[in-house]
Amino acid sequence: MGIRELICPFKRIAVVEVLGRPLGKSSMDSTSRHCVGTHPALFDYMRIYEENGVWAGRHEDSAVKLFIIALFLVSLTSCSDGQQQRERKIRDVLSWSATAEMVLDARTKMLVSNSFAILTIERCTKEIGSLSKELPTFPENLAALAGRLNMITGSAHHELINGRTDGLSQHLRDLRSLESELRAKSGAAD
Amino acid sequence: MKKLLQVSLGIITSIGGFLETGNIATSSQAGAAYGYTPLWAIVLGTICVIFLVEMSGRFAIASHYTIVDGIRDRFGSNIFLLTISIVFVVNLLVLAAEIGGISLALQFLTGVKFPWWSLPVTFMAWLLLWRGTFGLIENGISALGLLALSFVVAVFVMDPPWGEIAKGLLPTLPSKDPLHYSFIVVGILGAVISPYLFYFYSSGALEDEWDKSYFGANRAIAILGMSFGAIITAAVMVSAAMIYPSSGIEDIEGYEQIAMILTPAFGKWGLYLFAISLGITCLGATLEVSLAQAYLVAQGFGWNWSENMKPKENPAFCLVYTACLMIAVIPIVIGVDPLRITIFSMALSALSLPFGVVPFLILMNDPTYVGKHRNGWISNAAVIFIVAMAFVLSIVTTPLEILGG
Repeated sequence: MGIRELICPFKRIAVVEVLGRPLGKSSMDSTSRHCVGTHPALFDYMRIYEENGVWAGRHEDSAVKLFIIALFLVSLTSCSDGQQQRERKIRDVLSWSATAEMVLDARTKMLVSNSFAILTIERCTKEIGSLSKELPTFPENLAALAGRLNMITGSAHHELINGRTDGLSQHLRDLRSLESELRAKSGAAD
Repeated sequence: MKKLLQVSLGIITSIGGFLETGNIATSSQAGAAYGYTPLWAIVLGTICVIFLVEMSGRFAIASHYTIVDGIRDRFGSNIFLLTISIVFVVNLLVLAAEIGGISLALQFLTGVKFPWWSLPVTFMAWLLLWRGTFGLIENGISALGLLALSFVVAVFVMDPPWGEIAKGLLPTLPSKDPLHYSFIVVGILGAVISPYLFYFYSSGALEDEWDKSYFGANRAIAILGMSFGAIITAAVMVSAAMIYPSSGIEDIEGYEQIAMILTPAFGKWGLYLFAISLGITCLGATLEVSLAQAYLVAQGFGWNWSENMKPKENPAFCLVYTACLMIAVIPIVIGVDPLRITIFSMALSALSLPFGVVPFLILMNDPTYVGKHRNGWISNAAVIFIVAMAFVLSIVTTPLEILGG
């Protein structure tokens, strides 16, 4: 029976396994279990240890260390990214929606040209559209809210193309109200 | 009197040449996401670039070598090729970002999408390089970049909270997302300490035939020019911090979001001022980076080099900047977002800094080349510390930012 050990380079976490199976829960903290569980490659890496825990080839040390660091960084990202990714996407949707508001507001005051407003609202619509597909539908249907934002920017874009500015104020109000709702439901207002 | 005029012109050129797409993009992102907190990164980067630019001028005056000549001579072909390759690739990305910046400026002014502008813009830059002289590029185009002072005026018009700005000059950690904050700091450092800047400057010192009477002028241009340039960069960050968070924009992901940064201060002129500032500063940087690439290769391989010569006298030199422009325009023609290229190239600039700076520092401490004009311990320590910090931060944050989306 061989015992293998890996010391994670940044967090000083010892991951111990016996023939590919993790030891009991008491030997590992939650972070390391999650990292190993998410990335089977980390197990593969550990298997290249000799049974006595000494490297098979010393000349490969630095290359393997670099590989471990890279792997660890990937693991670290995936360990923490679920919630962070969701928050960042919501922040991005809100930022693009606020950009649309800013441009529509400036256009109604004639502070920016129509061509600039058209291209910017087009970009906002495209970005909100693609981000809305990545937002969760449960427990709050954030994807649907972002989809409605997208529809408003889309119709504002249509009006700008047709050279109409009379409906922009209404679109601006709708955008603000939906944005507040998205902020409140996503917890971004906290 | 003549020297005073030259120094003044040099300072004006440095101010105009300092600001480009990298500084505008990273400072706007930083201001929107973290307010005034990352201002210290501009200060740190500026200290480093002042030392590096002063050193590159001093090296050219004292040794009559350019940096590339010196590296090849001192370290041999292997180190020279490694250094030149890394700097060359990073500069190519920066060049693509600058071409994107000019094209976007034209998009904001005309409403025609930026990919359509990329080829005419590149042709215009090439024509200026082909027909122009070093003086035209250095003094003409770069001096026009002074229009970017409108960012400073905007700050005074909007009357920011000066106490908060003063606090931002001291390094602090943010309350949210420290990883993203570190990546933004890396971007700022990469934008401020652009390697092309000091390679271009050292070649410029030889193009302008600086002799030993220019040591003082070199120091004045480096300190004053870079400091004033940094003030404009800081003004971009302060403007962004005042406008975006209060409007609900915390993440800047496109130049369309940055374009309205001057509108609150200048009303309907704001967009035009921003677009013209962006276009001119990026044009200046496009010409400088293209020339820096041609200097790098031509000096390294011992070919004829000078922007003041006719193309038929240094065809290989002209071929290098022509090829660089042709390669760099490709991502912009196919519509890759210039802001993404900019942010990526600034992070890579920070990552590549040690490869360009360490051999240069060794040269600056070698009396064979610079005689009694060697570096003091303060400049060595400051540059090593800042470059090492930028390198470590970029190696940790760049993969995480890319992989984490």
